[in-house]
Amino acid sequence: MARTKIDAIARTGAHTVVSLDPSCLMQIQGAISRAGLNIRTMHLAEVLASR
Amino acid sequence: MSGEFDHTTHATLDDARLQLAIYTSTGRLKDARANVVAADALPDYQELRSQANAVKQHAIDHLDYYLEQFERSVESHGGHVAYASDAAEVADFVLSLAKTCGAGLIVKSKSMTTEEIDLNERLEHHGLESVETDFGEYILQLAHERPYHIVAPALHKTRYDVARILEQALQIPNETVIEKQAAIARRALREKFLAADIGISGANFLVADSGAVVVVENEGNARLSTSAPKIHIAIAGIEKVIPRAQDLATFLKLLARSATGQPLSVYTSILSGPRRKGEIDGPDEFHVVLLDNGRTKLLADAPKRQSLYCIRCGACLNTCPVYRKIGGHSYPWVYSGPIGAILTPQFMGVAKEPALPFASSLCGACAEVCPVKIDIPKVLLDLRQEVRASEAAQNHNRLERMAFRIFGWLVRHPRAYEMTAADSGFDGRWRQRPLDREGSRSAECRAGARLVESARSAAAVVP
Repeated sequence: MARTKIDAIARTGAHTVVSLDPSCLMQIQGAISRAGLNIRTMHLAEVLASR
Repeated sequence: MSGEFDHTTHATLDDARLQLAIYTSTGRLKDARANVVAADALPDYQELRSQANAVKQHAIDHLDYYLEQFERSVESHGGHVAYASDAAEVADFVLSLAKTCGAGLIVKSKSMTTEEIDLNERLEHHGLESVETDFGEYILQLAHERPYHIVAPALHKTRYDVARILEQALQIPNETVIEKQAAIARRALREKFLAADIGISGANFLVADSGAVVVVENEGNARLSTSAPKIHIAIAGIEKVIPRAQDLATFLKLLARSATGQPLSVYTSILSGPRRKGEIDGPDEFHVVLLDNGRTKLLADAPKRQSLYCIRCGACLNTCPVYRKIGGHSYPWVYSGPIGAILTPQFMGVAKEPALPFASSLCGACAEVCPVKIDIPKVLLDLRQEVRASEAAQNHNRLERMAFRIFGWLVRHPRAYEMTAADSGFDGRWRQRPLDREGSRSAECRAGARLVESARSAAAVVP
């Protein structure tokens, strides 16, 4: 499931993935780092907090 | 995880061809459904779902009343209703009927309820021939497999697989053109229809006020199975009853759309009794077997009773990211996907199927597409609780409980939590890495301070 997701994410060419769900982020981030991709994951709260 | 669940799951994940077959087939059904329930195609879709949910809830809450009404209505048309508490009683009923009329050959239309009770195997064990006449089910019967999907039983078979199965079973040359394969099955099955003594069908709905059995299908095989042989037996779970014929207007609009993306299936048969005087078609005898097989157990459990609302459309399977990866045979019983994950533990007992309620990411896609609004994620959570309670009673999983107790303590003690998180080097996996790379704590603290500050200034404005 994670592989399907990161394939889709990689195809978009995005540098950052934002989600509201911490466990989704954890799973996606794990799959991204294992695949050696240079894509960052962020929670929406982090995006807001960094403004 | 039970061993078999694990084994089939990994075998499915490793089979690239199978993965593609599952993904494309479920994807096609999923997209077809999405198109026909879209706001411009069916503006009152959400109202229909609410209506269907309300009717089901009412029918299930008053099942005793509607079953008796159904029975009276069927008998007033010259039909007969029998009650069966389990698989053996259904088989006994069919066998004794077959014996009385000297029947040897049975044609069957597709029915998950008969799959649930292994009816074919039970009848064959007693020397009867029971032939599946739905194309997908026919293929699987020849291949000795159980359905992969509630609606599309042979979803996992490519046409090359089908060619091999037909070649071996019927001793015919390899044929890979789908239309020609269908023609081959049609020829073989036509003889069976004409020679059969008994036709067995399931039921999509049992209509209480008119005593009708409603069968929805696309191939015409169910209509033939229920009208060509002298005896028709419909086998249905007790939860299939709906109060009024006019409720069909709601359910028929939802069923085919949710299942295959058709506005209506090709054939909708409303069968209410044996052939009457002056009618050309229809059976001499019309029997309905109402099956419990554990359903009353679900009925007794109010929060999870909604599991009985299911109309077996399969939409939750097509949309489920777990089903689409692990496929239908990874599930231990005939019901697969999200609905299988809640039905199987309830029918078999959570102690026997403890893995299933956890085989979900709780993403909620199933609840979103369910035409009768079953809150599957909620039922999964209830079942998880039951699994843990039953394990605790047997003193399983001590380690896990201890781990959670430690974790519980840690999150209640921030300083200790910070220390373990920082020391373990797990930081990034435990918690989301903050945007500010200067140091996780400082960024979080600053964000927190800003929040507090803005809350204070907001409060200051309030007189």
